[in-house]
Amino acid sequence: MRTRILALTTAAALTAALTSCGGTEAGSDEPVTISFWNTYTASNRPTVEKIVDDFNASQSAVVVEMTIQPGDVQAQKLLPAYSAGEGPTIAAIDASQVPEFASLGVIQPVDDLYESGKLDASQLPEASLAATEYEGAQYGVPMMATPTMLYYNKSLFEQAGLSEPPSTMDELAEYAKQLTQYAPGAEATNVHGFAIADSAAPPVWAALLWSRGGGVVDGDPATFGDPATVEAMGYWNDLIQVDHISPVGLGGVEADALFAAGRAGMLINGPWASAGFTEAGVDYGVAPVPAGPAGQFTIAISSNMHLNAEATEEEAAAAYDFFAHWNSEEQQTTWATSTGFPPNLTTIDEAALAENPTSLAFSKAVGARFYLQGLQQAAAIDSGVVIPTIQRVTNGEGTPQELLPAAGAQIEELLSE
Amino acid sequence: MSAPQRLLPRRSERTITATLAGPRPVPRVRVLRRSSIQRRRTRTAAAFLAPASLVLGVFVLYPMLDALRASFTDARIIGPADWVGLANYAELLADDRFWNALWNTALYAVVTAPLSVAIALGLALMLNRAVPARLLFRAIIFFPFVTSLSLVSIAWAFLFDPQVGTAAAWLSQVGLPIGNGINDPQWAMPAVMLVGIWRNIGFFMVMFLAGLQSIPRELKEAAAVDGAAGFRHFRTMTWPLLANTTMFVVVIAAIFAFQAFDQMYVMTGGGPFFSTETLVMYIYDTGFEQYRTGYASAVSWALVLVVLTISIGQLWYFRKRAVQY
Repeated sequence: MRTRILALTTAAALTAALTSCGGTEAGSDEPVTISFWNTYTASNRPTVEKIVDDFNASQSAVVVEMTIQPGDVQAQKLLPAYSAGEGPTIAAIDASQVPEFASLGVIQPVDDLYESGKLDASQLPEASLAATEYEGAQYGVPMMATPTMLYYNKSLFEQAGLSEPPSTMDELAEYAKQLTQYAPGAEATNVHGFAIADSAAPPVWAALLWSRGGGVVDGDPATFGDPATVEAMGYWNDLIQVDHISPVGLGGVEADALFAAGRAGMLINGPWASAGFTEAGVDYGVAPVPAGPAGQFTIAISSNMHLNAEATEEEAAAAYDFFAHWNSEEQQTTWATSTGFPPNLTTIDEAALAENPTSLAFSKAVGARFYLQGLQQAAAIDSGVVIPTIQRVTNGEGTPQELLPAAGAQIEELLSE
Repeated sequence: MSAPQRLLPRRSERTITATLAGPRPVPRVRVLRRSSIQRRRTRTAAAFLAPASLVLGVFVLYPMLDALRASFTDARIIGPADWVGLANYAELLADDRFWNALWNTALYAVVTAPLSVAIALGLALMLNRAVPARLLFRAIIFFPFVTSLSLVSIAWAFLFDPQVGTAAAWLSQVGLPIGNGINDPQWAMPAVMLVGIWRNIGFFMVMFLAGLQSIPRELKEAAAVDGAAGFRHFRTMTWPLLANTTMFVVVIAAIFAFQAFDQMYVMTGGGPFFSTETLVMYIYDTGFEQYRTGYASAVSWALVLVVLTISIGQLWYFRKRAVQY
């Protein structure tokens, strides 16, 4: 009994002392702990951890507890966690999922962050902000935004008598043919001019279709069954099936492995792939994806941070501090130079990025465009219709003329649901 | 022979006695004692069953019934759901992707279940004899079953990769190119079947070994004295006496086959163009990629009904062949 009284008095005294010297500190001195889920499991992980550690060390009011898990694991857990009231304060999700999450009401608008001046929206990637807008409100804060670029193997280019990366899509096709060394039955040693992944990778096919005036949804009605898409897919499919510029049915990991093994002349991918290529000793260059007859396009990829709809005011304020930290000049320079991603801030000088040429190269992309932007049915359209149709065509199960109109109708049906 | 069988005639005897005895009260003390023993037995049985029933109820029965309820709604992964009656099941019947997945699952089961049971039985017969290093062989064959299937599938995918795979490179060097490997629609299904068989034969083999070792020595000796040897010994002696083990293994093999998911998810992603998409993969895709919980529950219940029907069929078939010795 006596000890308890003693403890209580001490606690009261301590509280009084702390409150008096805390001054402007409101309420308790306990730091606010906020959780942060993301999927940066690959080579960028140490950088993400460093930026979070720096934040936790830089102040004592907020502690960010981060959980990094593979994309499919997070996708399974996130919505059930929100509905159980156990969702993370901050979740980083792909831009394509924002309409779904916003419509479910599990994330909340962060317009007041931009209004408060903690972050200047005009210095952040426009495409990311556009992709995280839902019904007129801003639902996200940029975490990562990047285009895909054309990687090319300089040694293979030299062997084929080529010195510069292609400047048009037709040139790319021509180079790809020249780089290809194909013999049937020699899959384990063949060299392919341009490795095109059709699944588990950035949707490279979309950029190839856009460059010739085709598309997937890209309009109303969806353009996947249009004659222009049929023509575009036929063009690339001939190059694959007749000229063998790419193996058929490559997944993203396989395409990267092929390029890392020095057996692919060109590849379209994001900056995260560069670390593996450097490690494998490939002498590569990075160039913008060239323009096709219908324009210059590449795939825009962005993952953004979102605030839990049930976050308290205190947690929201803590999250805003972290958002500002992530998008500060210092942290964005770290982010860009250690990962090769372009920085989120337009204010960062090129000279600051000099130590990582990949980051600089990726900030020079032209025509970055989101795939299946703003569609709640994105997953169903992509994995249910687009990928299998491309696989059917490239495996010779039917021509684009035969398969695309029906696939386009299927997409229309999904969109009307 | 078993307890419940013995109990039955006694109970009916008592009923008959009571009926014959008419209104005359049955001796009180005996009834009380019997029923109290029975009550105590029931209580003990219930106490023993309670922990398992509780776990099964909470983690199996309740989720199954809840999924059944969800299958009649348009539930998404979160948020409110409306009752839609049989709409999900109607959609299912018209869904090409569902029928394709059902067909793939059936094909996978028809090939892998009998093959893995047969191979496991062969291995068990071989390793039940005094062969050198048989413990080592048993361990090697059993090992795949204790590994994580999704992890070893990553290794298999690399081995079979047509462009950069080790196995593919070796095979092509000895003049056996595997073409486009697991990316070829013709080869994708055989590849995932191979991994499924490789994974399960160790477990089935251990079951068969246990079965073989429970066959009484005197029966084997008697058969040997009667002149049964080699295949004849197996056909007339071992095989019939293994019936109980075979039933268990066949039922489990079929259930494993209908639950196939991991190696397809990792190695082929269900592709090319759904050629390796199984029912469980389709459930995963609709439930966790498209977040259509209601529809995914309907597909799950279709799978439950398929597995239930097959298991009942198997049990009915084997029941007549059960042996006791």
